[in-house]
Formats: sequence, C-alpha cells, structure tokens
Amino acid sequence: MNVLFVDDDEAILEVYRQEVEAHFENVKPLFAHNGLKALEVIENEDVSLVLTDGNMPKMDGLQLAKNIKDKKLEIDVIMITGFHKKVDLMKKEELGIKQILEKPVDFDELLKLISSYL
Amino acid sequence: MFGIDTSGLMPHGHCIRWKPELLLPIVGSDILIFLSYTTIPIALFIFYKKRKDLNFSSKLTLFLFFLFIQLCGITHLISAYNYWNSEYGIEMVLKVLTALVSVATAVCMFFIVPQLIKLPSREEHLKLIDELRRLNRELEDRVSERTKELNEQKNLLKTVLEGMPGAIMRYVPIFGSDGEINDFKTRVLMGKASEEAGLDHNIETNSLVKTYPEVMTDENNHFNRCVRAYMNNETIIDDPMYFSRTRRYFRTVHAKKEDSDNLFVYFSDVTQREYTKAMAQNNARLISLGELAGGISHEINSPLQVLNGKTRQLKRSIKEPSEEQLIVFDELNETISKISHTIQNLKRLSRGDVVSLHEIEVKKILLEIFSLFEQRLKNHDINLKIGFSSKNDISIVGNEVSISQIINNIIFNAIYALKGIDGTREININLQEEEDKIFVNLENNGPLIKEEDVAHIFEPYFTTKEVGQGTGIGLSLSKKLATEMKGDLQVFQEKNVCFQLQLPKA
Repeated sequence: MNVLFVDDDEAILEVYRQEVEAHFENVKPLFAHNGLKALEVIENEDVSLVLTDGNMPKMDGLQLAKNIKDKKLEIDVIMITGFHKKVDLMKKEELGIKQILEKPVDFDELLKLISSYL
Repeated sequence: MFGIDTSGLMPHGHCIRWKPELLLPIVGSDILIFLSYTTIPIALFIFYKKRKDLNFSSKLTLFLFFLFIQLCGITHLISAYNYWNSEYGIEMVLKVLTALVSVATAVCMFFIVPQLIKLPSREEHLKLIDELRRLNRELEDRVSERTKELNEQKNLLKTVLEGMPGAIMRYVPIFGSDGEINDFKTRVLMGKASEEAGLDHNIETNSLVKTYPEVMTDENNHFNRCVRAYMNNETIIDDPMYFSRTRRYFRTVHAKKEDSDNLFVYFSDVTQREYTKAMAQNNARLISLGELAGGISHEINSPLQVLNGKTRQLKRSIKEPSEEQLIVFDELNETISKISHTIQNLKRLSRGDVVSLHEIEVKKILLEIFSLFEQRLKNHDINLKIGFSSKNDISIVGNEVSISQIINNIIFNAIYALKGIDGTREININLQEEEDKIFVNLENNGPLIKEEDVAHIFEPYFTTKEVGQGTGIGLSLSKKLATEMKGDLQVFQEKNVCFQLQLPKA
C-alpha cells in the first residue's frame, strides 16, 4: 500500500518515514513538499491514503483535498495540521477531508489509522 | 421811628379834603387790595407745599413773590391807615422793604422766565402722554413676544434634557478673602439629574466642595476646571470625567459666558460609551494576545512533532534498553506530552471571529486548563486541589476558548488575592452536576471581598487591583462570556471566596 505524506517540513517527513518503516512492512511511504507536488505523485503512483499538512506554499492541504475530491480520485485525505481552526467542521465533507489530526500528532494514533487501511 | 418825628405831619385825608367820594373808594380799594394780597401768598404757600419737586431757584422765586405780594398788601393797608394817621415812618419802612423785595423778585424772574417758557404746553403734554402710551404698548407687545419665545426655548431645552441622563447645573462662585474662588453654590436647573447620574433631583448645595469632596481630587479635576472656566469666560469640556462615588463617567461641559454671572455645568452620562470602548479595547487586546498565542503555538507544533518522532526513533534504535534508559524515554514522552498540552491550551486563547458553541467534554478540558497553571501555582506556593478526575466526563455545550479565558481570569485573580496570605494558600476546584447544568466552583482561601464591593464586582472598571495588574480580561468580560454560552458566573462567600461558573449540559 502506498501512503502519501505531504508537508513542507523535511524533518517531519523524515520522522514519518522512520515511523512507517519501523512499524509496517507492506506500507510504502511517499513524500511531497506541497500540494502541487503531491498531485504529481498521485498521478504517477497508486496512492491509497494521503496525510497532508495544512499550511504549505504553492498549494495548501485544503486545496489539495478539494482537488482530489473534484478529480473523484477516491483517495481518503487526512489533514495533520497545527492550525485546524481554519477548517470548519462542516467544510470537512465539502472539501473531502476524512479526518483532522492536530499537530503534534500522536504517532500511535497515526499508526493505528494507517493500519486500518491495510 | 428812626429818629424821625411824624406826629406833627398831616394825615393824607387832608390832601383830598376828606371828600367822601374820593376817600371811600381809595381807602376801600386799599383794604381790598390788602385782603387779596394776603390770600395770594396763601395760595402760593399751598402750591409750595404740594410741589416738593421744585428746585432751589423756583423755591426762592416763590418765596420772594410771597414776600413781595404780602408786603404790597401791607403797604396798601398802611396807606389806608395813614389817611387818618401820620405813621409815615412805618409807611416808609414798608415801602423800602417792598422795593427791595420787588427788585429781588424781578431779578429772579429774569432767570426763571426762560425755564418757564420751556415748560411744555398742555397740548404738548397730552401729545407726550399719547406717545408714551403708544411706546408702552409696543414695549409690552415685544416683551410678551419675547417671553413666548423664551418659554418655547425653555420647553425645548427641558424636553431635550429630560430625555438624557444628565443635568444642567448653575454654579455661583464663593470668593474667599483673598479674592480667589474657593467654593461654589450649586443648583440643578433642569434635567433628569436622577440617582443614576449620581445627583439628587433639585439639589441645591451651599458648598460644592463639602457635598462632593471628590471634585477636588486629581482624579477628576472638576473644581479647577470650574474655576478656570469662570475666570476666563471659557467653555471647557471634560470627556470623560470619572465620579468614583457612583462609578460613572460623565461628559462634563463647564461654560461661562461673558454676559452671564454664573457658571453652567452640564453633565451627561457616558458610562455606557466608555464601557463599550473598554470592551472593544479589551477585545482588541485579547485578539492580539490570541493571535500571538496562536502564532507561537503553530511555530512550536512542527518541531515538537519532530522531537516526538526522533525520541521514538532513538528508543527503537536501542535493541535492549536498560531500565534507566526506559525511564528516561518515559520522562521524555511525558515532557513532550506536557509541551503538547500547553500548546493546546495556548491555542485556546486564540479566539476565532465568531464565538461558536460546541459539545465539550468538560472535565477533560478543565483538567487541561488547570495543568497550564501547575508551575505558576507552585511558584506562588499555592496548593491546587481538584475535586474531580477525567472519569465519567460530562458533555456540556460551550466554547473552549471562552471557558479557558474565564478560568484563566478567575485563577489569576485568586493568585493575586492569595499573595498576601502567610499561611497555607489553597485553591479548591470542584464540579457540581444538576439535571440540565453543571457548576464549576473555584474557591480560594484568600481575603474575603468587602461586603460593599460584592455587588459591583462584575461591573466594568471595578477593580481592587493596582493599575497594570491582571490580564485585562476582567470579571465583567468573564461574566459576559459565561452568559454568551447560556451559562453564568457568580460569586459567593462564606468562609472563602468562591466563583461559580455555570454551564448548560448538552
């Protein structure tokens, strides 16, 4: 299974990589630094789950989620953000966001979430 | 008389040989003249008595006429007498006197005739009277018109002022022996001047300074303003001016016009406006505080996540960690968790634009908020006793940010109140549950609130703290936040001061 992590912070992506690789054998972590790059990855790879940050340059998490929904790609998008207040709970569905996790994320919770897609 | 012997002289009768056809008419006429000339002075005397307004020269002339006529009369009498007698000495004296008086009278007449000419004739008098009557009517008409105008203006002013929570007062200055104003007599002229405005209706004081000693303070400077306005014929506006006795703010206009003897002072209650201003300022401060908190928390979140991940990675890299190493990792996790919660709490200070109400697990939220104070309370040697745990949480409807701000405010106040306590300092928190609401009771063993202050404690501006202390949130805002959530904030005290936050259940 391919899981795409989107965040403009390299260090955070590295931490995600370490966690996934340490706990899953059949989950391949993919990475992108912003929404635009994420869409490129989705075009080229078969992605099952997207875990994205909110604030990013070029295209932020909200826009990425909306794009994915509009394209009817049928990929679940989970937002991990430190500033989630911008997303009204009502808008979640509108934007196609499955769930919002607050930074700093509870890694155990995150791993549990990923394993639910296996 | 005068050494002249007249006894041997002939009476006048001899000159006309006592012919009766001459004697009788001549003597008769002389006597008649005497009688007439005696009554004329009586008339003059009556005139003099009745006309007290005569000036000196008139009186003199009148007197001289009096004498002149009287002497003339007497001269005729003695003339008649001397037809049978020879008292020519007396006749001579009388004639000389008469001559002198008539000369004097003639001279006076010369001076008085021009004045007499000037006296208006009867027609002129009547004309003047008519003119005066006409002018009087005109004046009366104008006065009644003016009176009507004034009444209209007065009524308009009254109507306007009665609609406003204020009063217009007249101040009459009282000067000291040094010529300086040291007090004012005051009187309410118009306006509600109700208790709300802090003035008794129709109050008249003989001493502004004795009745309202606070006007002499630096705080409102009212007395100095009054003096300045009065002395310089100025209009001075103080906006706002604070009256501590009634805890209200007034827009005060001190006005003295040049053509008036009094100082007029108009008070208009602007407390509501000041409150609104302060609320807006408070809100602005809160918003910027919140933005700062939000910004800081956001900046810390990402590195914190990295720290968490790296700690886990480090733990994973040690194949067989020792017990000591395991303890260290636990402590690391705990610390990271604490930082995380602190960030959550900080974010709660960041208000959104709309205060929306959500379902909240109240115990969890409260415990997280209290944890933010742990260190601070320890620093102040305050024991925090929480009478509930996160077990069996209760769902309420509220706003996390608002609850956080209210609790922050109450605990900050408690910390301030407990500063002066030497013995054990305690804050006790417990939860009471009712069918449709919950009560969060925050009690501290600090000094009790003064009885007269309790009623005012949720009022804006009311403070027992020094300037610069506190978060600027204030109990009045806390109460407002509580009522916005369809709850309430109250204070009770028996042994201890207890603030009670009431929130509706979901």
